[in-house]
Amino acid sequence: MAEAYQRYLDPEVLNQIRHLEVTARNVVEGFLAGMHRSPYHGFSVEFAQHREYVQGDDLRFLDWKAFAKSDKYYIKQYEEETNFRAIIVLDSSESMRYSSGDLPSKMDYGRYMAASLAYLIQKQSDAAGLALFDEKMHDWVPPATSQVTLMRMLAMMHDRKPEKKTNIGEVLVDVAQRAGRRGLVMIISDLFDDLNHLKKGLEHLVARKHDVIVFNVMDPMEREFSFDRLTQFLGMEGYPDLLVDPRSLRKAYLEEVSAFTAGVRRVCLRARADFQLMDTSMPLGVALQAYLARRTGTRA
Amino acid sequence: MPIWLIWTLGLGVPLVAAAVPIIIHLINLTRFRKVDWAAMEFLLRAYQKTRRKMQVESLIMLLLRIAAVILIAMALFPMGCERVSDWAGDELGLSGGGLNTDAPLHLILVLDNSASTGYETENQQAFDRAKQYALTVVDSLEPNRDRVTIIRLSDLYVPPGLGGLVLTDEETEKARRRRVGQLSSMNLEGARREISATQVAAVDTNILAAFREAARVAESTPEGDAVGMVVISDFYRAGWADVAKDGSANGDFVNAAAAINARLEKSGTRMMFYDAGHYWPQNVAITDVRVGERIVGAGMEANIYVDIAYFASSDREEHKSVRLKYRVDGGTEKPFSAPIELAPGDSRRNIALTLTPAELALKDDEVKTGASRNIEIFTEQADGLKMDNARNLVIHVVPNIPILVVNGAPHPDPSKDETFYLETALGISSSKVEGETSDEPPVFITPNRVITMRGEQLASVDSFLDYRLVVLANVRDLPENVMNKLTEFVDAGFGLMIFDGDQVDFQKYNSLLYKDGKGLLPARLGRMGGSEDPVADHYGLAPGDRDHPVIELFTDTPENAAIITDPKAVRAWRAMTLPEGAEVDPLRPVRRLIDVNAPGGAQPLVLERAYGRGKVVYVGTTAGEKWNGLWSWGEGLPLFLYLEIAADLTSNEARYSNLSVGEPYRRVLRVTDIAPTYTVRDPAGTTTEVVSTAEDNLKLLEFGGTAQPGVYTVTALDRTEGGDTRRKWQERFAVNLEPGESDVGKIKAADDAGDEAGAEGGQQVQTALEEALGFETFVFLRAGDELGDGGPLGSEEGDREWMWLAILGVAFLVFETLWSGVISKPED
Repeated sequence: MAEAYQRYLDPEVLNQIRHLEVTARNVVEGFLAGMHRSPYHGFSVEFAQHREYVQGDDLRFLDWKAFAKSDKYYIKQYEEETNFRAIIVLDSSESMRYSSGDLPSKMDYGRYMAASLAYLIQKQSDAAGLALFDEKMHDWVPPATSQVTLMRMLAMMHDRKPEKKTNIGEVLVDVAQRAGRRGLVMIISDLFDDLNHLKKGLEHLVARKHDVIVFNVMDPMEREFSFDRLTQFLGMEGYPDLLVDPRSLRKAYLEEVSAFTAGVRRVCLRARADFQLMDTSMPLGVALQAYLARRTGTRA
Repeated sequence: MPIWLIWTLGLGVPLVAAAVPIIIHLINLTRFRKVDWAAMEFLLRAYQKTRRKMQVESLIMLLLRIAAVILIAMALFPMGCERVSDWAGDELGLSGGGLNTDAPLHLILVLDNSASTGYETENQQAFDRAKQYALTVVDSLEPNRDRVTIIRLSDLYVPPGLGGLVLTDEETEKARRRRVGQLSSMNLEGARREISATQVAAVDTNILAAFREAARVAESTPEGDAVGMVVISDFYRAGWADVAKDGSANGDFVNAAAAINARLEKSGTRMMFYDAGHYWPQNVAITDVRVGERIVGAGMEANIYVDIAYFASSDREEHKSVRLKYRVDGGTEKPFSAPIELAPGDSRRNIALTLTPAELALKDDEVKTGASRNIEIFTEQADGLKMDNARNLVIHVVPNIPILVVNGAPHPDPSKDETFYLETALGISSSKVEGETSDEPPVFITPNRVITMRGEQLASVDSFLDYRLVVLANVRDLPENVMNKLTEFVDAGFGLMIFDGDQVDFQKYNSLLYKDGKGLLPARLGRMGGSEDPVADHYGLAPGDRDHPVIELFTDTPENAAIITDPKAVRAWRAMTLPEGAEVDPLRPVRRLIDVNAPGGAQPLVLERAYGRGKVVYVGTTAGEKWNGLWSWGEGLPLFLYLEIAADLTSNEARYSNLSVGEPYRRVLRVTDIAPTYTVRDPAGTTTEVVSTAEDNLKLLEFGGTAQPGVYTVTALDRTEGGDTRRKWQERFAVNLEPGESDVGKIKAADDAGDEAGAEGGQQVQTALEEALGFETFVFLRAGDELGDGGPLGSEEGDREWMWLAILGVAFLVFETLWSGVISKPED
């Protein structure tokens, strides 16, 4: 477990996203506040603790009294606020095994990403859970705030070998059913499945008031298809092999990928889910930072 | 180059080249990398969409690569490729014509080896291509079944046994015209050997004779055998103009071709023409070289006249600047003309070269016998047909010609002397003007050395054989022993000239000299016509036999004809009766050279007849002015006439100096020329012994086989008392190409004045043949259609086009490499 911990929680990545702590939280809060502002106001929130103000915090929660005493800005945190639930849904189908060159496989990239996000969420005392799936959901870790849960999540991700086909639609329905009350569902997958299945799954999540973020993980080679000589492509997830000159096929392939990406975007948009393409050649910290920054900008 | 090597290069190299891209393609198919691929669904969908397009593109690319490599290979090995193309053409002509039969095939291969096929561009003669194709055709036959008859269009007829044969008129005509060599019905190996051994001949093309021969061969082929015929030629006008639509021999040609086609149709084949000739040739030819003087003596100048012509397609409009050079007996080359500008089709006649006495000077050992000088005229720059870029002219330089003039009526007054003027005319021996002094040696005008004696001195002459010509002028008495010596003299091959006059006893002359047609006199003499009175009427003259070499000179232009017809200066002449009936010697007919326009009609005045080896000229008026005023008339008729007659009677040495290829050498041997042994050395240096023959009691040295242009040397070898041989006399003669072979323009359709090669290359030749023979009667293929001349890759500029195609091929490969390696590299 310690090994998994060290492996997936890269200090450098964590350092890069450390300052996003509030931002990430703000994402959820802002998101929920924006989306479900009135329910929050009706809650009987209980003060839990103070934390230091960082740029971007809502000034409404600034504790002016504490500022007067200590000459420092503190934000008041409430129990209800910290009780936000995030479920990370990580694809572990065979297609996630793919990697080009020295880049991490999509699976590894997803693991880093899931681990980092879970760590970040738990670090701010929120609950993070995990669902690992391919054709079906194999591992389920209910959202919790304990470090034990984080360790368990990391161990599961470490032990899961990418294999079998993807069936994301059924899995998301299952997640929606298991997740209980509403929260944030972060899907990390290459989404190589029927878009109708994805659509069906997203609709279930959204119907249960979950906020959904879809991280579409792709290898740059999958997006650019920059092979330059005769290649035999060995199919994954049961697809046949194909010996072909990729140069003559590139244009048509890119059109297919482009159509697929556009389709995913369209499905996400219709399901009111957020969509983010994650290129495995991008450093994870940078990619997350960019995404969260963009998300903050758009949701603020 | 051995045929297997040509095949290997011609077919093997392009095939191997074509295999290279395929092999690379196959190797590449085995050299791929394997990649696990997640997004297989997209890839498969893309593949399904583009599979057909990819396959087509891939195939096109492969074919283009193959084509590019083949182009490069063929450009590197054009000759071999041509053979392969020829082979393909053979298939078109033969297999396409139905020779795929089990019946034995008798192939009639008509192969043009005339001089024009020696036309060469970029080291390849048209004849090289002709031979290559002929070999290809033979190679395509079945070895143990088929046979070949080769008819060479331009073989020289060589009489059996060089010399030793009396050349009849028929044989002579054969030697001149029958130039079709037939090598009958041989197996394929023999045919290959003969084709390989065939060389370009220096003679013209005899298409009609070849077709007649082919028709005979075709008709004599057994019924059960198939017959095929392939005609390989250059189709230049030189050989084909006569048989073209408007040609003089077209009718006979069409008949011969029809006879051949009738036999071919039974075999299901068609006649095939293969054009091996080059297009747009440019050929500057020296078409004739001649000497102005009938005899050139020591100390004389020789005026050489040269004709040149530029044979080229008028389409090209490429002018030539030609400079002529000469050398004497292989000596130093000297230019003798300024650059001569010639447009296509132009010719220049009578370009003059004057050889100085010093250039023709006799050496010490030649002073007594004289010697031959070979004048080689050539263009400074050779062109495609080298054979006509030079011609030889042999001049016999004689030391002098001793002429004995016997004066039968001397007179102290030169104007009344019988031979004063005649001696002066015959003996004009120097251009030096009296009273002028010069350091330059005198230039002689004639080679004659005149010796004069009175009539009564004749009896003291032991032998006339020291002279070349004896002139009897108004000589009364001819003792019998003198008559016998004179008869012997003429019979030995020398000349006798007899002038009449008031001293002549015509009855005695008739009995001693005419002898009822068997003597020296050409006619029976009668009484004097006209009047001796100086104030009596004078009558004019008329040319007689215009084909006589002397009279020809006076009749070639109106101005020259006037030299004979203008003088009305003859007032007296001898009436004479030409031989009739039994008096006529058919072998020695009397020739009327000049007539006098006497009252009542023209009467003969100057006659000539051959006697033995020599000739006699009788002039029916006086040599002086007793019966005429010719010397006073001022037109110079007697001066020129008597000089020319004397030259004609003494020009044996010069008569046979210059022949055309194939023309037989023929020399009547004077008694003094007869020797036990004669040899001939041809231009290649081969010496052959020839024997003299006899015809009608004449000794002749006669032989054919003058097949090679160049200079031949005839040597008479005498035997000494000790049994050794020594040279008695030697003379050279030149053999030159007939000028007609220089015309290397292609035959054209009669109404076609367009581009020589035609829009489709060779179209005009084909059209001309169709005009001559009809449509659909033959298959036409042109060398280079498949690779070259005017076809898609053709013409004289075919090689250049090959080069461009090779560059195109290389450029394509480079571009394709760049495209696949750089340009089409996916963007980052």
